[in-house]
Amino acid sequence: MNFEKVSFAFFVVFALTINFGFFIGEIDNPIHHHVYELFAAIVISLIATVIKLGDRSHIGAVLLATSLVADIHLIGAAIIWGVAEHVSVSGVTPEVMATIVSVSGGALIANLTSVVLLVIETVVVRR
Amino acid sequence: MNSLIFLLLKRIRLPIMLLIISYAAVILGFVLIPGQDDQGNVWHMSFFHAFYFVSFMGSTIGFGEIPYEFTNAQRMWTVFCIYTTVTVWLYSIGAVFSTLQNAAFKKVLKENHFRKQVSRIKEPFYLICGYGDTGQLLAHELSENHILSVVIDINPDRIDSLEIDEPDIDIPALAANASFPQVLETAGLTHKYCKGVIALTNKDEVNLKIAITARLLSKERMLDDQLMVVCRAETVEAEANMASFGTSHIINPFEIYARRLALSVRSSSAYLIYEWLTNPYHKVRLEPIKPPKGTWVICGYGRFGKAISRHLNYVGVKTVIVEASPDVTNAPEGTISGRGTEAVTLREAKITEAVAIVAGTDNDANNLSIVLTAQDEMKRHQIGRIRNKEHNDKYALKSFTNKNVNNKQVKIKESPDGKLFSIARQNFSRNETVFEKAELDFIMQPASIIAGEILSIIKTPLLSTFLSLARRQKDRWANVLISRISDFIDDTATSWMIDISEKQTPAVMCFLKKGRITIGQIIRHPRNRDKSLKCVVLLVHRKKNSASLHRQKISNRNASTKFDNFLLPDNDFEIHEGDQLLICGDKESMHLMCWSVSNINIYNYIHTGYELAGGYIWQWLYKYKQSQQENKTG
Repeated sequence: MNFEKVSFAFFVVFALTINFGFFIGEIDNPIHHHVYELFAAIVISLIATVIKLGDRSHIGAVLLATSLVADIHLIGAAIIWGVAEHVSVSGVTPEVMATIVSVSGGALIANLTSVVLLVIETVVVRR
Repeated sequence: MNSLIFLLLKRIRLPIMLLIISYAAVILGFVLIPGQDDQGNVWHMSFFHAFYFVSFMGSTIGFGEIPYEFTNAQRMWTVFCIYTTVTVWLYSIGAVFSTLQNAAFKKVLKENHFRKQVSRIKEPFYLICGYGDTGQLLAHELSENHILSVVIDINPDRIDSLEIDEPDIDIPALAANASFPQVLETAGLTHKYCKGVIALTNKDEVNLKIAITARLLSKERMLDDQLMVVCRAETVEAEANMASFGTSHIINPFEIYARRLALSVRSSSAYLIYEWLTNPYHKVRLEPIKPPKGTWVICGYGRFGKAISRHLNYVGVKTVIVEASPDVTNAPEGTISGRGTEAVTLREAKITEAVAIVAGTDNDANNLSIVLTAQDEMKRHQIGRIRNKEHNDKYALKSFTNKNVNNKQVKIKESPDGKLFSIARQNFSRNETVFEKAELDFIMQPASIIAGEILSIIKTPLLSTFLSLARRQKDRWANVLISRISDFIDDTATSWMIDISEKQTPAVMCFLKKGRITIGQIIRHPRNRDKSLKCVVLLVHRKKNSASLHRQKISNRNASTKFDNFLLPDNDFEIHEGDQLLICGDKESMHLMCWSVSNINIYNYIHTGYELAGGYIWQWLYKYKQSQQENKTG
């Protein structure tokens, strides 16, 4: 066991779970999707990305790519939320909420890929 | 490039992580802590506002408390946050800069730059290993001749000096150990435009390794003559070793110099030709220097001394050797032990009876000291002799010393002005000014000898063929050639080659298809065809056609040469397609000739005396005029 491996797996899985937590619920109901959860998802996703930096193996590169995709999705969702709440007149309507959640759904898929790759790598290495 | 980004990312992973965590904590704090709006209601900052505030606070811009004035709780949190975020920012920026400044990182950066430069090369280039005096000289000469070179040296200072001192020439350079095959590969050994590898390091062992690497890594290209390997060797053993696996050219500066010196003793006019053609660094000497025949004193029996004495003995010159440690160097019998820098040793070597002194140790200061001591000794001897004579005259001791005087007259014949012919070996080019002032007849500079030799191999491969043929000629032949060349030589001479081919001389080829062309026509002046260019065709190198080759095979099986060589062809010598011409002349003539043989209009003028018209209409008019003239005459 080594701390690097633990923290690596921890953040990769955590990014997925927290993302899932935000995503789950009725898609256009703002009560089911809390802004704190989105914030946490972004922070964890960014940390997971940084942890993946500097790995020169092929699987490391793919892991980094999936993380970057998740980041883009989540930050995109956050920007949509911010614009809807502070800039547009209408505020956060159910339509906007649906958009935000579906965008975070994209991030969920990317995070899922990341976890799958992690599992595959673990199985292949078998140490 | 890839490894560079990864290296950078790996180094700044921790700072970025800290930045993300601290920002997240701070933003979250601002969202959670309740504030008040302007009406005194409880108000929670949104993530957007918190991010906005932290962004300008963390980077110490500080726009103030936005959008409403803060409560005391918020202010306490802000105080804490300012210190954390600013510290983390400073740490991160510091980490990035220290990574960029890191020696290892810089090395990777340079290596990447070098690799990119080399891989982008789209013209033939030469790989020079070792950027000492010789490498420097060679790289300069090559760049002056518009030939690209790539440099490797183990010493980073030298590479830096290349970048700092010579900003106007763009030579890709890398500080690395040339004996590592990977380094050679990075530097373009296997590059398809690499024309040659030149190993000039001061260790024979490294040069040997470079030669082996080149041989193994690009065998096919070496066999096809697309890649040549030139090595500097300073011992006979290394030379033999390099020759054993097909190194194209092995250059031993001491051997070359000794051979030249022997040539100059044997035939000074042949030597003059040699110098004109192979020495691109000095001004042309018009008068041949004649080294005297007699006893030579050689100080230092190292590699240089050995080569010199062997070659001089071969042409029948007697040598006396002075060596500091005769046992170590296996000096022959009769060697005088001593350094030669003291008058005593030189007197023991009977310097006053010798005609020449060679200072050939590996120490520049000692070499100068040897020559100066010897010259002083000679002068003292001279003065003493004059005094003796005066003394004898004064006291009318004629009858008493009659015999002695006769003896002296013999001596006077040997060195008429009492001046020693002096040769010194200059090991470092930085000592140049001192050596120039030292009234030496010859200065032996290994660096310029090697560079000159390599340059002539690269520029005019035919030159060595010519010189080896010329060496076999009589003195009279050399004198004729000297008189022909000295007609026009005033400042600098250069030699160049012309291939009669579609590629290099399209204009000549065009007329060659219609009729015969002679040497005399080729060397006409493109501005005035009645004059000829200031040059001499030294050699015509022609591939034997299969019929004559076959005939020769029958008549002489040993004749393995596939080429005919014609030395100093006459003006009405006919040239053929595929001939290679070696020409010697001044630089202006070289440019003019290159112009005339490749430009059809210019060559037409040389050939016919008419200027060829450019466009279709003018060409038609020209043809019309010609036919009119033919009608008139016909």
